[in-house]
Amino acid sequence: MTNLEKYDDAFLSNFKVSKDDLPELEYQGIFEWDSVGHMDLIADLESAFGVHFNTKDVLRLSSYEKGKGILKEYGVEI
Amino acid sequence: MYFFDKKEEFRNRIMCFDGEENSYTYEDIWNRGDSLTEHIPEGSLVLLLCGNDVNSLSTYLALLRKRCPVILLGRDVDESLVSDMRDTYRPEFIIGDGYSRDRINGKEPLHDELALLLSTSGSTGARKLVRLSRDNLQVNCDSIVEYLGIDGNERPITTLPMEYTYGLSVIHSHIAAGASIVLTDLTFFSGEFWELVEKLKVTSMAGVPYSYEILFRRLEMDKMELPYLKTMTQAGGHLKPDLQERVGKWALETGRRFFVMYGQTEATARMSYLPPDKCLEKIGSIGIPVPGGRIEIQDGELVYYGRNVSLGYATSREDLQLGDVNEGRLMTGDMAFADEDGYYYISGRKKRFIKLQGRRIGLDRLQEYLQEILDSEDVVCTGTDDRGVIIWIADDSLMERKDEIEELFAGKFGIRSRFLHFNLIDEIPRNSSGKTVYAKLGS
Repeated sequence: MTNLEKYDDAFLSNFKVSKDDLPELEYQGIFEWDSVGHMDLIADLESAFGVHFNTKDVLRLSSYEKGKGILKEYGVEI
Repeated sequence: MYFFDKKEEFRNRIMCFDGEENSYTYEDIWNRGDSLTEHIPEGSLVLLLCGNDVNSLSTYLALLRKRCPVILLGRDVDESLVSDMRDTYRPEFIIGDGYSRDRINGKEPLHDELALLLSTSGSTGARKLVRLSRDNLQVNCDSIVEYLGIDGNERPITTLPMEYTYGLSVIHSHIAAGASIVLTDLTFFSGEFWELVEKLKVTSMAGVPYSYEILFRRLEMDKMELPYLKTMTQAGGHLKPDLQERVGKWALETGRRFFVMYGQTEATARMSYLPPDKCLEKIGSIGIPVPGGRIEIQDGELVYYGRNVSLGYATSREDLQLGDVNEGRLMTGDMAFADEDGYYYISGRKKRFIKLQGRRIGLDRLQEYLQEILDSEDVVCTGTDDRGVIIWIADDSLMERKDEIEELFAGKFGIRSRFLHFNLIDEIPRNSSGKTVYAKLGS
């Protein structure tokens, strides 16, 4: 699996959305991406890429697109 | 005098801030409430769709002082729940975005003391409401102000929905003390939330167990500075012992106070609290009764006595004429015991329900609903607070409707698919009289 596939998979397995919805996806933009969904998403991204997000980045990771930039700072190219 | 009737005492103090950091005095909120409810005659039944914002708060307080009983629902609830409530309780007015200001039903008798009608399960679609009196609100408010030591210098931030009994109790008790509330619907995962906490010098926060999972395990709140934050409270379910220990230690080491508390909507909000200096010594305990309350254990069940015990339930408009059927005594449905020092511990539940994020979810109700929509007896529900609802299906053709069930549960009960687990089994275990033996299902 490529990094992009792994990245998409974290969103697709947590939220009931299709691949086409991903670019627009934002925290609290859909019912399932609430606080509970965020906890799970962050945990899945961390285990998929073997990183540990600091508090600031957990708060910053508020959309599908932003997450890519944040992972880059952890050395993961999506 | 009821806290919501006081006009002069705190008039120039700040009652609340909105998310843009604008401040509003007690007098501002009073006047705003008057004008927002101008079209509503005294004594009308009103369904209010609320959020943690200035207009909701102003309207709510104005309705209380106009002696208009309020059915409080979150403004993001499913439309079908609003129409269910409208048909069941026939409110004369609905206040919320997109609803007309016109009267929608004729006046019907209401009990004099009735002030507030709350759902025990928030967004999960149960039509049953708890009937609360003005005295209930005031008495519980007085107890909470006393044991938390709330004064006019306190500044909580809203971290729970206003229509949820615990969230509302934070609002009531701080208004009664002349304090200032930061009103926001932002969550712990929002950077702006933490900016408000810092800029507006928030002194306290409330949370259900899951809030503490987020705050401590994920956001490592114990590493944040938060120089003004002095008090944290927890209710709405059982906090895991290791987390209670972590939060308790942090509070102790940093000179803060952490209160574990216990309550139910049927008791207005609070029934007991664990004093912060006992937090680490009595891990897992719900503490001692709130001032003015009394607890007895009867046949293993926690029975609470106090003037904050609600008048009773309502399931129809006609029920809103009823007086006090509980007479100050509440059978909680929680099994409990006391230790030698008189601290109480919950050991289990008498009824079949779980708590998800502080909300009570009746498993029998979910099960009946499922059996109805699937038109089958081959489906039953169990559940745990941690995992959520477990749906046991003994007919593999029904498994194909999993997605449909997930969608329905999200819309109708506000339960996301993460908290739904499906298990296919050979048959539903039943005893000789046909009753389901839930114990055989495990989890």
